[in-house]
Amino acid sequence: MISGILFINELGKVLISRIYRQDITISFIDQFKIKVLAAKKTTNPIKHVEGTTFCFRRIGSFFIVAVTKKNINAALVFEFLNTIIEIFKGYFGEKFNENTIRTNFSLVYELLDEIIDFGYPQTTETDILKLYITRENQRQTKKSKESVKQISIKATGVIGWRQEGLKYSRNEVFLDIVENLHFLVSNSGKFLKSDVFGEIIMKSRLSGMPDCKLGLNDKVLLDKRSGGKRTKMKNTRGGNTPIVIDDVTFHQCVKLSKFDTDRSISFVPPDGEFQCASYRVTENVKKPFKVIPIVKERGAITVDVKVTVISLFSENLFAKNTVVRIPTPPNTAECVITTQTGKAKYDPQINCIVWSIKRFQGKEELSLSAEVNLIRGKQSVWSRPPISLDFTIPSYTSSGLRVRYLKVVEKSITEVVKWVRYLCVSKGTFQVRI
Amino acid sequence: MSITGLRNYIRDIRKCNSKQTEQLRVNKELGKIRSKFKKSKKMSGYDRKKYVAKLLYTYMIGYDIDFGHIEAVELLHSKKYSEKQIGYLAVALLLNENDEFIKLIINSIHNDLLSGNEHSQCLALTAIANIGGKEMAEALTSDVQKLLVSQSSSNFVKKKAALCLLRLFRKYPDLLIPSEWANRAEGLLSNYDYGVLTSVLSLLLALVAQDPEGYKVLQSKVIQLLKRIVIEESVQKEYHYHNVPVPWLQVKLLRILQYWKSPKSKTSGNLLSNCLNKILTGFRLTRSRNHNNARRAILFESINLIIHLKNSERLLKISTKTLLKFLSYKETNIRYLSLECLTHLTAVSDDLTLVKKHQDTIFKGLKEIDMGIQKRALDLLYTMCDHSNSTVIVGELIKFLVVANYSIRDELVLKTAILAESFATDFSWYVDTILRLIRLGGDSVSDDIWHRVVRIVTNNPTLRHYAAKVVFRTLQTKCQEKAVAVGSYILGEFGGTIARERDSTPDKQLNILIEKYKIIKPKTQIIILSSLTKIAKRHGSLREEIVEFIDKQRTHINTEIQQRSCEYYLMLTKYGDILEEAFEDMPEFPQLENSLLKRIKEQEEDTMDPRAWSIEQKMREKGLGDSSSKMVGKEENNEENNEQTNEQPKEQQVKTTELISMNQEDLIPKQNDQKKIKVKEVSTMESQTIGENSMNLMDNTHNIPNNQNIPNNQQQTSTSNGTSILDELTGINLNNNQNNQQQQQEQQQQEQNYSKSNNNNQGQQKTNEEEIMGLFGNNNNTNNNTNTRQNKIKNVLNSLILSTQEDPEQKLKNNFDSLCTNSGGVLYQDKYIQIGLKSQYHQSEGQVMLFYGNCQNLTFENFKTHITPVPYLKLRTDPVVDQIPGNTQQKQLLHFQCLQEFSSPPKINISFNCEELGQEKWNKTFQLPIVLSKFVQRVPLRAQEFMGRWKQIMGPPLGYQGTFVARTISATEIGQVLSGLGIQVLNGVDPNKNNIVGSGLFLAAKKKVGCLLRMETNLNNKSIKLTIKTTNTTVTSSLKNLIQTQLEVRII
Repeated sequence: MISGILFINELGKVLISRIYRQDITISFIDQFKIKVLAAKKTTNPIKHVEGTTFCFRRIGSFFIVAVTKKNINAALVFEFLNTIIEIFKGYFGEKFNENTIRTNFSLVYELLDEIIDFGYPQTTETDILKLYITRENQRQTKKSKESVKQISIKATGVIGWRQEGLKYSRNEVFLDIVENLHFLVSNSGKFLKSDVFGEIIMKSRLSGMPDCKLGLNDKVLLDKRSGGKRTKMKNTRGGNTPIVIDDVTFHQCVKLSKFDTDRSISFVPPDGEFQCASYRVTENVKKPFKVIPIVKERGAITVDVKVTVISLFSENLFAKNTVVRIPTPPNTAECVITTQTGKAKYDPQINCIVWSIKRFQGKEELSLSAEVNLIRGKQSVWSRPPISLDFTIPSYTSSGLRVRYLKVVEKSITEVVKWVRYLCVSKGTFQVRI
Repeated sequence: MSITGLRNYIRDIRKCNSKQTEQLRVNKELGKIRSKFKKSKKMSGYDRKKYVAKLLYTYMIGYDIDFGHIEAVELLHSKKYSEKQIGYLAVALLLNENDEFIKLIINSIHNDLLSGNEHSQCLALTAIANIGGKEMAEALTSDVQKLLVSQSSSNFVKKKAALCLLRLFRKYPDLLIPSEWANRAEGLLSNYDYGVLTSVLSLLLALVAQDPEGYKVLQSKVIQLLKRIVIEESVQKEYHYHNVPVPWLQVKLLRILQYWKSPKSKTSGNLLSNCLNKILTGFRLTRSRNHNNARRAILFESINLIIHLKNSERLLKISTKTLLKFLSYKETNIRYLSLECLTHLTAVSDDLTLVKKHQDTIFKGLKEIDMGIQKRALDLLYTMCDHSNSTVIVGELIKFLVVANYSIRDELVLKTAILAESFATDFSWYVDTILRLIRLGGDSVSDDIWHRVVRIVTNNPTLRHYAAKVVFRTLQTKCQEKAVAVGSYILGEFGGTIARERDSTPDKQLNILIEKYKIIKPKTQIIILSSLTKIAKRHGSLREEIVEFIDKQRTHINTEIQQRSCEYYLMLTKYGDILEEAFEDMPEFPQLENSLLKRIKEQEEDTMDPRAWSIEQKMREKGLGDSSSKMVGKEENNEENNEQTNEQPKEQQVKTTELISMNQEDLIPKQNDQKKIKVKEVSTMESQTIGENSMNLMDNTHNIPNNQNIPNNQQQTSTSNGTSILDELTGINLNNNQNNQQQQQEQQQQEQNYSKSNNNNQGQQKTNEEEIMGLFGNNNNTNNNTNTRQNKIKNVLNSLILSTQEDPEQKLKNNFDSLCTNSGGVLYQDKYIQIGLKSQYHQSEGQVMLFYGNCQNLTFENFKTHITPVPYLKLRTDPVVDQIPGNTQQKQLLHFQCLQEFSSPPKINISFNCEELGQEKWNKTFQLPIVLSKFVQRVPLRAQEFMGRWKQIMGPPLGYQGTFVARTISATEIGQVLSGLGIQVLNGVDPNKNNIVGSGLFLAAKKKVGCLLRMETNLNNKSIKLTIKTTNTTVTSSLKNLIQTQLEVRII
């Protein structure tokens, strides 16, 4: 029950205001100005003032504010605000700003009227909205009565995210599984933190209204299948090792009722690219690298560093663009570095030795040794920040997640080409303490 | 000079549009500099300069620099000016005074100072001034001084050296010794360069402020200089500022003169007044604003000087007129300064008629928008207020209070309250005014102010009725928190005085209090609760209603209120006797320091500028601090006189009251001084002979109520009376200082004589003196009413200590008192004889060895001692020899056993003939320090035992309870005294740590008496509540007397 939506810039100038319910008056704008904009620190995206709650998101130089008087589900409001931004991006392109809102104010009002009714979110699919709310320059030629009818059906239909009547000559499905690693390893090699954040991104180019089914090596699912009898699966084929997924969130197209009953993921995909699911795994995670750091402070002005990196994944695979950042004391003057592979040099900007290896083969051991010369000065104790690694390993998942099957059922389609890619990524989030 | 690398670096930094990019750029640069410093051992001067400059820039934009100090220090050694300059800059910025690198640079700075190169010298001086660590100051001060004084150094360097020395001096004032520096400074003042003179005077101002007398020699020189500028006007054109010759120098000269008294020599005195005259009369307004400002600055400073010197009526009058004229000027700054100057003037000057005429103009100052002016106007009104204009000024101030800004309100309320109190024409006016003030002042009224009202009303019985009436009226209106507080307190305490009037019957009082109770804060609610209980106690008919009300409060959410109401409820319902005791009429408050004046003094200390004057002076002169106590004192006096007629107190009391009234008749015109001193001495003597014990005045006043069983209340009045006697006595002594000085000298001579003869006992005497000093030190704390009093007492103390030494009676008494707790010491001493004793006690038996020392060269003939037989001692004395040759000592041993308890010690009579005395016989009687406590043994008791016995003994005459003002409340000191009196201090018996509990056992030949005591110390008024419980009346009273004598504040 959002009582109103407000677009306001940093200076407190109101761009758009739309009130949906009569329980608030226009004076709430002033309240927002005083309590949020004028406040010195605005760290919370939510502010409660005398019975009125403001939930806001900042985009560039302006805020989108949802105002409510009721005790509303805040997550819903923020999800909705995010969706609004997505819709606007769909209409105005990635870079929309205050000016775009000003020049297209009538369109914005139109959209706001359509996506909320009496405070309740309605159609939020850009594709559908675009059918009947169009920018002036995109105006279609006269619509036939038929197509107008179709719009209303789609807008009110069950599957709001997919247009009907799509046709592709070549039906293809692309499935990307991307895992982000967040590891922290102690200098003795013990895991302090091992979180894998994964997403399943799907790009569909399918005709008609296809029904898709996705099978993963989810432990619960597999156990259920086996009926609890065969606890041990045949591990011969990779991908059948069951894994424990901590939590999963799905795109709205996934039928949750079905997932709840038999853990099967079935859906009618939207056209184009979308994030089908995201998940988190913390148990039984395979680590792709082992790092052995040796740092010795020799006297007050020299530090010896020797870092060995061992890749633990199969030798058929390789890591791309591996960068190892080895921090040095703040008063480092120069570094004498020796290494067999890759390039290494001292970067004073970030105070690290940056060692980059283009291609890191599996089951390989590389090492770097350096003598760091310090300059005398008023030294404080070096805090010894951790070594961090960047890498991208194709065809490798740290969690062990595999796609067991992807079925597409649609009458009109005879043949579907399916592509599955795996990717394991770390952007400085794989850290090893020294 | 230009460094391209630095310029590029700065440009890069400027280009960064976010903090992160800037940080990256800085890190990169620092990394580069680090590697440069590391790699190239032999770096060119230019490079080094460049990198240090970059580091400096980085440091200045807020990054931490932890290297490069060595390079900076190396730059100092460079011969190139530009490199040296950067080096000094870096050193001054990067190093602080405690840095370890300081050691490295001291030497090179030293070399630069001696180099003779003007530029290097200047750089070095600047660095010294900016860093100025202790090490540096010690090592380099002499060099800087040399530079300043030497003939060879240029004026430019001298200027810097003077300022550098000033910086060093401010940090380490001990570096320059006046005796050494005064002459050098004199030489400096004859310099003809005005630039140097201005700098030197800045230095001198600081020096003179620290020790005006030490630099007095400079005065004539300064006056000469002033003459050169003001009268001869021989100043080069380049030192004129808008046609005013060296205004800054002039101001400094005038200011430095304010630290000294007016010059002694006539010529310079005349010169000075000529100069001042010329400045005062020569002031003309011109078109140029800057010219006017400069002129006025000089003018104000010279007026300040005139006020300080106070030697020319004419000049004072002119300056007053000028200032008053300035009051109507448009420029705010001028009005501000003239108000400030007038405050100074009124604080010092006695003749205020001119200022008073312009009172209305000053009132206008209050209404100005500018806060500063408002404050200054308030200050001025505060200082110029006296009895003649207090009504008007206080009225105006209260009117102003309504509209005053919040930042000034606190001060305003405080000052108004002080004025109203100090210059009250009559009491009803005071009560009206202060209540109005409290009503209007709201939150700005601090608790002190209404406490003060309560204090004054309580101490002035005539005022009570009126106060209660006014307060009752006020409570009926809508009023402030503080007004309710003061109202409810006064109604609770003195509501009885208006209870008979129809409009203010007790139930009406009750209703109004309950009505207010609902709308105020807990702090005040508590006061109302107490007041209600007092009403309930006074008017039994209302008790039920009040009990019911208090009963409801027992569940109040505030714990303090809850506790109070529970206590009161129980008192009202169950323990009526406690109620009676707890809510007796308030005793009058002792005269403590006026808290308001204290506060204002604190405030002023905060903002005090280091000038030679402050408003406080004026207050001191007017005796303002005393006035309130005077007011109260008079009242007391009346009351005392009433008592005198009503009852027939003992002879002593009449004497004391006479003494007071005589002293208070007028505040000491000078002629009467001598007489009064005599009166005082006579009366003390009398009281000593009349009283059986050789107690002092104070003790006597305490004794009376105790012996007579006069109700508690009166005892209290008589104690406060005692303090007022003290106050007055101190007053007298102050005026008698000169007398004392003469006596002092005689005394000193005498002392010298003694010391020759009595090498043995010197040590003891010394400790004795120290003890007396200690006593008075504490005395000081308890009895000062005001700051003035504090100062007076300090003066008096010195004279008192001397006077006690020469007053044999007093000295004897002090010796006696100290011997009560110690086993040995000197009992008596004059120029003939010294009597010492050593004693030893075991249970009921004792031994005393008396030493008679002949201090003369001549022999004492016919030496006889006689101890008056007493029933309580079985005494055996050794015979004593008939003759004591010159400068020798004789002993006499006394054995005795205590048979029963006693109150007064035995006496010894000593007589002898001496040639010097001629026919007359030396004959004196002393009390021997054989007191009851000597037979008391320490008995450790456990808590349970103690409490068991404690509970057995109840009430007088076996038990004693009383309060007295103590000289000390430190537990250790009290413990020492008690153990001297044979009483064991028991730890951990009383749950309250501040209370002291002790026990002892009195042993006579066939008798044992257990003694228990407890002391509750009160930190606030330094009083001790003493409870003694024994099984014998005499033991109780003697012990009590002994303890009080030892611990009480002593008066001479």
